[in-house]
Amino acid sequence: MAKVNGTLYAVLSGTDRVLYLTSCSLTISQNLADTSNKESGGWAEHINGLRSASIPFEGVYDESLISAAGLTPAAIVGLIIDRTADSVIKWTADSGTSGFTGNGTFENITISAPMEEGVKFSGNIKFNGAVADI
Amino acid sequence: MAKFNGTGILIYSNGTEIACQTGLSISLQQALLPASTKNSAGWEEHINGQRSFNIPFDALQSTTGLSAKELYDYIIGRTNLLVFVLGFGAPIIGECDLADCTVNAPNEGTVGLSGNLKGNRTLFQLRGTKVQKLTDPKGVSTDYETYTTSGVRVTSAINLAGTATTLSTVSAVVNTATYKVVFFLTLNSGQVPSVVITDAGAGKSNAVAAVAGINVITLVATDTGNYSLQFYNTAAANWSTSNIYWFRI
Repeated sequence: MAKVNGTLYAVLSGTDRVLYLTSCSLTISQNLADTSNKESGGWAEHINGLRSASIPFEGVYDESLISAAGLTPAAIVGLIIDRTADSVIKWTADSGTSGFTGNGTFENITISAPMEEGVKFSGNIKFNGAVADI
Repeated sequence: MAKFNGTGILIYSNGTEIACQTGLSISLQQALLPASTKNSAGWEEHINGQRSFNIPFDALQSTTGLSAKELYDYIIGRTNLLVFVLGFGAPIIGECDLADCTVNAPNEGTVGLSGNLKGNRTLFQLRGTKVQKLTDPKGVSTDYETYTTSGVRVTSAINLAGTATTLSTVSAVVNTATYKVVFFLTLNSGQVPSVVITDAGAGKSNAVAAVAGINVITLVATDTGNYSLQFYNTAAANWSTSNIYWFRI
């Protein structure tokens, strides 16, 4: 069995990698609207409803840019301040060759600065519309 | 790669560091308003909505400096604050109100305080095209009787009578571009200063008279070139400021 090191997974916004992450998750959900009724034989039943997806992420705050193009947390702050239009988001372990993709928006970012600890950040990307296999 | 020690990230209220800080967070969010319809192919859609920010912080209670009593006074007096978060490469600036402040006094424990600053209107992050343009408020000249600075802060400006002007180090200005000048003014006596972008005294923007307290001044350039930010008085005045931030929006 081939295990996967989480370091390989990246979040891309357009062609920019979200930099300095320590973790990221992809959650895809669908609302399962309850349709249980007296004819359900005592079992819960549902129909498929609205689908949604998000990528919560965390990282260590850094403002320097490494050689590859990428989004720093300061840049993400700027995107929210400017209400920048959606970008194409990719969740990928191989620089975008495979994974999942869709239009998405940076919903929030929190930067935490505790005394004598590294400054950290966390945030959430909310997909806007369909998510599909790359 | 440049990591940051949280100790170096500090909050300033109206130019004064909140005493004995132990931690803070800056939370910025935008509401993503549901816009799903039957044409959304079963996928959730949204549009960009209202942005908001808040800055929760923790500190130890201090007997000196900006601490619990002064913070409570902001709430009691319903006084809004000009908040700087400094220590990052780009200063973060916004007007806030102190939504709450709590002092904890445990038995045989250090008295601590915590509070939450709620943003009111725009959060400014001075990076990219909005980078801080001011490097020295008196870099070109001053003819005030007293004009002392510390970095981009005017620690004392005294004009005994008549007109006095101070020109900052020049910075590139673009015709019709909009600039903000943000600072907290402490007026000790006399006339408030006015602010304008100038070319060695020739006006290159609208001029705006400051007010005692929070100033978020909008200047619109009327020419392109390398110009100074000018503070001036036309009568006796005695004032000082917090850090002054001049940036394009």
